[in-house]
Amino acid sequence: MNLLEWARHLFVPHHSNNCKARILHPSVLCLLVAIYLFGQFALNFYLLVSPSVLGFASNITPERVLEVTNQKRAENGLSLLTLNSKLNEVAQRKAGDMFAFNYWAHVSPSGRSPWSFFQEVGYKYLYAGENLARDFMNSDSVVDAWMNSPSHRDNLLNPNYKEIGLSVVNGTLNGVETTLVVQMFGTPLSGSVAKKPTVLPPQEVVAIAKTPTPTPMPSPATLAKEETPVVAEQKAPLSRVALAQAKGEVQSPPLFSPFLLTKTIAIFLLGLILGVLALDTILVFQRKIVRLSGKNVAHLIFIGSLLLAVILTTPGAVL
Amino acid sequence: MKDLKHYLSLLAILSIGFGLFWIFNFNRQIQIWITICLGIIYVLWGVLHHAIKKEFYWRIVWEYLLVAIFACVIIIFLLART
Repeated sequence: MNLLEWARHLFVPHHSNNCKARILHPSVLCLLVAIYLFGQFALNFYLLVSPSVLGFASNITPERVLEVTNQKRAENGLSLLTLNSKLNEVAQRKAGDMFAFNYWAHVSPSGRSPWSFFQEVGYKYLYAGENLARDFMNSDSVVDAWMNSPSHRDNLLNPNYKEIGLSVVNGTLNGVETTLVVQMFGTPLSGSVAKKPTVLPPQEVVAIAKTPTPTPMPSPATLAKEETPVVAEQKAPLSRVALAQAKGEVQSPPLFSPFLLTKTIAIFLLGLILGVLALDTILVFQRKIVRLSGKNVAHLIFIGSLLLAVILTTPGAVL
Repeated sequence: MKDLKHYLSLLAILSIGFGLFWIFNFNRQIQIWITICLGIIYVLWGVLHHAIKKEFYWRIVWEYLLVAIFACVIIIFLLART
């Protein structure tokens, strides 16, 4: 079988492939899934053995995140948040903890909640909340993503919050250079809220209002009361970018992003199947081929929709 | 097209799913669940469609299942990359 015959066998309905492009046969689809999965696991392994080679370059500043956050609050008739140095410290410790223990969550794998960091720095709060973001390109897109997520938006536009702390940290998470944005909201228990509405930090995600009284609230915050935070003193492993910044060097962008690599492969695979399906549909119709099979039109609609979703998916996540 | 109503229903379901996917952009966990739900609904649609057409064969169900798994696995792993 020469190359042309092989290509026809693979992509065009023909008697050699039982009148259905070979690539659309269940066995080949299984093979494609297996190859894709193998590729993903190989990429994960590569990230483990060669951390910081791949990554994501961003240009996020706490000042801008704060500015946009307060802008959003002002647009909604809410008071501006005041930057609080203790909350900044809380955000910094949370980011450091995520890098140190290699996780991306509100509660660490050891069960440590965000509220333990509040206790560590001695910030007694009436209300508190936490928003997280990662892998965004710039400050505005971080706040936009939070605003587009109902729970994060509630946090960001919560009238109970008076103060904010923010941290933007570069580091290596799961072997990938990334930028974490941590936003901590709070209202001090003492009521000694700063009077001047400074334009300050951003906020994001999980809004959990809690009272520090023994009254149990259905939120992870209550757990923090019994925990003695042990972590946070550990330094986050500095990424190549962070190290370069520390040395005053000009930072170079990462070689490539695992996300963009995966997205390219995903578009290629879905596009390939979509194209073959379209060709198969046309030829089956033209040649009036009768066969026992699923409906190509349905497959086209389904895969086409998911391909569109893949194309529109951009890096960045909020939590 | 004789199965137009069926295809329109599929298109409507996928459009709603796509809309939700877009609304929850950057909320990866929810997006992954939406993708899984769409995959399951797609297989169910295929089963129902062929059952109505009296063309129900396990081989066809297997085909819908594989197409759903193929597309969903690809997108879920992408979403997991954040």
